[in-house]
Amino acid sequence: MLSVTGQHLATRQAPPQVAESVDALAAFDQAAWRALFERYHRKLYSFAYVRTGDTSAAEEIAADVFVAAARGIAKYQQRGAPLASWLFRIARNLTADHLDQRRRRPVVSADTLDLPSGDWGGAIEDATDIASALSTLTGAQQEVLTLRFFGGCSLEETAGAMGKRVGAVKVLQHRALASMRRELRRGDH
Amino acid sequence: MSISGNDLLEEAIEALQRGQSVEFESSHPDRASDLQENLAIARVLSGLAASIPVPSSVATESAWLRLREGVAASSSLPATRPRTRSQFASRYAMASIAALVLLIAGGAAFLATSDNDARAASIEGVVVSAADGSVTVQTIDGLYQFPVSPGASIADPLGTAIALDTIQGGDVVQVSVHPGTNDQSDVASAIALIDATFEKWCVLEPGRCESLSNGFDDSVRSCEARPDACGSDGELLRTLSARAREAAMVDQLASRCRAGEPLACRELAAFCKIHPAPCPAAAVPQATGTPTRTAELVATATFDATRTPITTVTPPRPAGSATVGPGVTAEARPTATPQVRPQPTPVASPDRSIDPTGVFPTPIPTAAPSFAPRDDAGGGPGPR
Repeated sequence: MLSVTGQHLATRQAPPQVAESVDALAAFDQAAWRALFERYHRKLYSFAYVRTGDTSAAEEIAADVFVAAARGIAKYQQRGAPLASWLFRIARNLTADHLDQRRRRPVVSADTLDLPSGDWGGAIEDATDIASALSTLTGAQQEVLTLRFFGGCSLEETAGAMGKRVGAVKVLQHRALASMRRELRRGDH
Repeated sequence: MSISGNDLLEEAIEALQRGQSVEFESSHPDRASDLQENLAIARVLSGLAASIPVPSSVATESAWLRLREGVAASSSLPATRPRTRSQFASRYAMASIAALVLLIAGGAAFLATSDNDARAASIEGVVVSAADGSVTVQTIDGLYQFPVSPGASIADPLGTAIALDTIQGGDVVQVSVHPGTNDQSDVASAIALIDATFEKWCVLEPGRCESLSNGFDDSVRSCEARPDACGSDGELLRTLSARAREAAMVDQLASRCRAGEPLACRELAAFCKIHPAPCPAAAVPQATGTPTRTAELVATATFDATRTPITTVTPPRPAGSATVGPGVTAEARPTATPQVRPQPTPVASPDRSIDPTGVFPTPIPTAAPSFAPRDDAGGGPGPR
């Protein structure tokens, strides 16, 4: 195994109590919907923003996800997949529709992103390098990284959102990062 | 059994997300270099996530309102059904309103209340309930309730006499109030229903939407502190509070838009596209316009209300007769009688402490502890 050291700075939130949440949501409990909104609105927005590079579109998509969820909660079948997977799946579809309408490839806007300070190695000078490397990935590779790092999804949630097995997502994630690494090296030369 | 590179990377990413640092040199020297580089990219991506622009507060609020409407539409909650006037009247029974107002009242009052001062005053505000011989009004100062004197004049904007229980929550009214004695409540002696939704009414003065919104918020908080006293009335207060908040937001965005902030124009247009209700009708079709166009439209059309005086009238009556019914002493009325007035200026005065009718030029104290009813003298909250 790998060696883990250092201060435990942040604890990931425990998975939501899916069963309870779904019951309350299906009963149209406004407090439950508010909690869901507060927990996921920003994450869904971030996901949509990274996929579209457009703040207005991201805001609209994030809002549409919840409206669609409220409309579809009665049909939501709990099959062990986390609730977040369902929301991000809706977001994926809406984002795909948005990109289709504009006949655009997914883009990552680096204009508004700031690379945190730190030593990232010679290949990464600013956020543009990362955005550029991200844009060379396949759609699925972009999605897995976007869901994991910008949407804040766990591996299981990512798998559920993408309709893939956890093992497949691990492979996809590994390949995506390796591709980015190669792309960044290429750009460095 | 050796662990796969995929699993190793995932474990490292999870450790990274927990805020732990990871090294592979000792355990996986052969793969350490690639893993560390992959992990470095994962670390950069995590860092970049924090720099993504946040959705605007308007967009967030708008998204929540859309969700709330979606939830309401999908559920069978009574609150989602349009409420008829009779339902409204029956819901807001005197007892629960009285309990609510007793709780909330006690803040700033608006009447000069010397026992010797029999002059009436008038206020404007948003109706929270009007039934069973009582009217409850949210002003920008606070929530007030008045018993309505028997036979009091109640009129719609055309001057037609109407019944108390046809006034709905959210209507704007002007209430003429006759001060009570120490043992009696101040009495609503005339009520004029103003022909405007409160969203239009509150934009007539700078900052009034915000003040109204704050007033509603205070009332809601008081209500939430004592839910047993509010009962179902709290729900209407919350609804009106949300409407007031939207109106305040629209008002604020419109002001900024008029001041030449393109972003505010865009946010206003986007908000009004989704939620036309709090937006002046003229602005809604232009929601997709360019910022410049939107700004122009907002400046010229949105606030026509400021140039369209609200006409407040009282029922026609014989010259010299009292405005109000037999429940109010006639001698108190002559100076207090609101005359029929297509007004040349908006109803509301720029100074809220001055009686907008001009009948009572005396500045109205803002903290006189004279609010009625007073039968919980020791229990109500103090002036805010």
